[in-house]
Amino acid sequence: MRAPLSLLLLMVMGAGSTLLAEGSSHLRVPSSLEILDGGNTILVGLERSGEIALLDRSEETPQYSAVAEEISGIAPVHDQLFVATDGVRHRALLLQREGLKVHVVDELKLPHHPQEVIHDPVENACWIASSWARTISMVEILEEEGLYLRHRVELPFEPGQMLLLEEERRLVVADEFGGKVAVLDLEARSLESVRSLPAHNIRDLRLSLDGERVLMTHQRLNANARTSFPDIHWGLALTNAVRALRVEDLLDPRRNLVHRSDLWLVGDTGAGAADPHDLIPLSPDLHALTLAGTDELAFSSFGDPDVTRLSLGNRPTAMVFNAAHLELIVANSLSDQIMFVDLETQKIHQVLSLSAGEESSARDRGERLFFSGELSHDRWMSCHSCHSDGHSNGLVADTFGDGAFGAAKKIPSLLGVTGTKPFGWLGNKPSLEVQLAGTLEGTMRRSLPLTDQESADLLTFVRSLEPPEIPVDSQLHEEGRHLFTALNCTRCHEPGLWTSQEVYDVGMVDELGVDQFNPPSLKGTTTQRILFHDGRAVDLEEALNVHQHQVDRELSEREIKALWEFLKQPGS
Amino acid sequence: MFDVIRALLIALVFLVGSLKAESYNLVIDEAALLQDAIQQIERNHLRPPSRLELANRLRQLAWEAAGEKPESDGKLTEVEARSERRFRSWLENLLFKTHQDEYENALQLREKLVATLSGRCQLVRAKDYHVQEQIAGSRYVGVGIRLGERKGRPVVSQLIEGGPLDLAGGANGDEIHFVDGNDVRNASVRDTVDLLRGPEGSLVDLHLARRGQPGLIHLQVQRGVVPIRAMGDEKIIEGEGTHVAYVDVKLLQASLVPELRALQQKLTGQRVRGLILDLRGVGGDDAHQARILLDALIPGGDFGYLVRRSGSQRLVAGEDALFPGMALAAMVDENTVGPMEWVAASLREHRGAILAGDRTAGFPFSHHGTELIGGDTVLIQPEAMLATQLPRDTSAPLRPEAVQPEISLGKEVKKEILKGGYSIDEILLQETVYALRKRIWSGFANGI
Repeated sequence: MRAPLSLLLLMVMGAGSTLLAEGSSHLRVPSSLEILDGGNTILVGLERSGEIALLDRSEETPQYSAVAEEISGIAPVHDQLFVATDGVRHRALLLQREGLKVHVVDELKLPHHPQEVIHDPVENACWIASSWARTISMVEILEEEGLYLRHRVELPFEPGQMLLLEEERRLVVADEFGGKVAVLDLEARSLESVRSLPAHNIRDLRLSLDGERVLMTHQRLNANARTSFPDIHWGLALTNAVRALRVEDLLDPRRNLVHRSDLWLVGDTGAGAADPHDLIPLSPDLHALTLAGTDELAFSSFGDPDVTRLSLGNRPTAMVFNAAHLELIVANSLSDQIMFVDLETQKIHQVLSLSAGEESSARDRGERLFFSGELSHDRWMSCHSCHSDGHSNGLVADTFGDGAFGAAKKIPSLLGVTGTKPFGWLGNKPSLEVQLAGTLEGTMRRSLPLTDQESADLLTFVRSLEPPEIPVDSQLHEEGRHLFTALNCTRCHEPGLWTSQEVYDVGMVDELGVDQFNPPSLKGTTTQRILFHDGRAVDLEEALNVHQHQVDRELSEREIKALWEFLKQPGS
Repeated sequence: MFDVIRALLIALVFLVGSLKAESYNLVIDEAALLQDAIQQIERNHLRPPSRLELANRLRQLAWEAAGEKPESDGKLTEVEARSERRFRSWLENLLFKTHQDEYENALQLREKLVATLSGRCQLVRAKDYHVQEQIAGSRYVGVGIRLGERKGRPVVSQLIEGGPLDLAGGANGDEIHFVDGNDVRNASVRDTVDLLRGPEGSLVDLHLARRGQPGLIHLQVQRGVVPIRAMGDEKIIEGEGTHVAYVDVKLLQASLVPELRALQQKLTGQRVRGLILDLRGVGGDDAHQARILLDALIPGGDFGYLVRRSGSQRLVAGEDALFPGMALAAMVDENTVGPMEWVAASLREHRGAILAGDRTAGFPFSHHGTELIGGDTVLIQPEAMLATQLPRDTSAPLRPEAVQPEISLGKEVKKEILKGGYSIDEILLQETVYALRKRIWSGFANGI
């Protein structure tokens, strides 16, 4: 069936433009896709509605089964049994299929915020990444009816994408925000190596067809560039990339991962390719790549400048290759669609809407804008490109936010940003509206301002972002609370929003001679990789004991730990 | 309080009647102009003279202009140097005293003072400075021509392919008679250029005379970004299994790295193992462009310091580098100047590049512009220095150092080459290719 694509897209866009009061989302948000029954059934994980959709390839409507609060990841064990993660209730679910319906067989409490899940057939187990808990769990599947937590491996970063090197018995784990890559030895059940790449927003890990390389999609922020118009225009500041790492380098912890890797930049002057996401190698010379920020699917050989780009729906992320039908199946997560792309013609031949007719809220529209490359000059980047999923990529950038180039500043997390005025490291932006307008013009180099409606929608989304709830040790937390007050931290980081509206000289000077900074809110501090305006400290110990940030004595290890525990949930 | 005293003093002088009222205002404006320039020098010059030294130079210049010897007293004191108000008062006093029949205004004094500074400082028109910025950013906006002169008339000496005038139907050799109705037949090149320039997207009306065509040709041209490439097309010098690419770099500008990136993609699979970057005759004034270029070519690690008045910044290259596995060489000469000298030196130090040609200019500084009071003049001063090693004494005067290439033909050899009827360029290129191949065969791949 060849659906009239333009008509379908118009229908979807029509639905999207209907105004609705601020409120909860109706979006189902397809976020994971799998192929079952030799390509005749499609399994879709619906993140926000917590449903599983199963679609018979010959039918037009899927069957939905509500199984969780949120489906953050899913992996088939075989055609009838799946393991999914619930990121809200912090659980793994064992799901049994009956026809096109599924039901929960078992549940298992996991380290908080589980998301990615990968099935390991050798051990009949799943490896599950809990992002904010910085943990990988090994969950064994017993007799097809029970889940059992076997092991936990802690990581020095929030894990995101994973790739199983089955023969080598290794698990490659990528950073959810920054550029770290860990390798886990599955037999020793231990962390073998952690290395850093000049990368952030790693959104896919795939094995090349010859099995010798690991392909990853990511973005790169050049520390030597600035967000001047020429640097953005010529693709010098933020670039979108596919990198091929050698498996043999990954397996040897002493090797540098970068020097023998191949790097291909996606997009070109005049045609940026914001936010590369899923990647599928179709042949040694042809790769399919979703561009989540430009709503496109790209076909590229990565050695040849010729790239075919096909327009899809909003924020195409997950993608699978259905060999039986010679097609690619793509989930447009923010337009609630599944699209089928014929590989021979490289055209869309079917569109399936998961929540057709639903009205979108201001937050939904704002979310689409947040993840859209349209906000930047030539579509080089979206807000997400630096504020990864609303958080931060953990890097510094030389933007015009401080009124001049030459002193790079830490990219702040937006989780919990609401109410924490003034904005910017110099406290020179009185409201989020002013901050947003400045970022669009001076960082993303957008030529036209957003309309009032767009700006309001985008800010509705940004204001809805909250830092994750991280469990704390209550005794240590209490100790930290007392210490926080005793050390007079509250003078500048006032309880409530844990910031204040003034600027202070705290004995730090940037490259341009500025020594007056607005204290950042401490909400979500423990999720951050670097501290201070230029990221000069990597943890609290360094901030307080090395940089002596407003303390007149050296703090003990216990005191640092207590303060850190307190900062995990300062408001509780 | 101080303002009141100053006003009283001026009023007193006014009563004495030695100067007319408008002159007081003039003196005050002139003092403000000079004070601003001196502040900008102190704030942005890499190694500014002290305020006392600057004041002394100004005093000399002002008295010279007045045709007199400086008075024995009237030097700026330490106390006056420390307070902006007192300094202003001192300036007003100096201007007041040297305000003689042969009137030398503050604009000229400012220009003379700037000329005494080290590091090739100069004053330029703000609009010319913005054009320089556009060029560095590979975003030059204009009609896309090089303007020449024929028999005193402005003429299109080079039409830039794909530029606005080219697209509108202009031709090389066209004489420009009218620009937006202004008769430019006897105008200077500079005045004509001023009329031709304008913001992106704006329209300009041209009346052109073309040889062999009667009457004037009327064209309406929309000013736009003129595509100016940073480098020429590559040449592949073939050898047994070891091809070497040569590329002539013409401008240190923002599009250079994307152009090199495209070249790398083009060379993939062509068995090219070496690359020669011809940096002869290339200067540029923008430290940022040199930084971007070095970041793209050097595979990680420190590559120098950016030194400004406000402090120095260690520069670290990203780990990815263009042309991995290829040996590099760079050709330089006495016209390789400014940031390009750092580029050559850093490529040698951090990527093992072979340097060939002649000693560089020996002026490895970049410049930075600061707008002065009024906004129509920009003060260009040495702002940054990229060194492979930070000089121990950062307060020392500017000490230029040239880069000496290891492959150099020398005067005598050059004479012989010319005598034999050969081309120096070709011989130098051959020598460079030979050295590069030797390095490739020895298995050295520039640390990558």
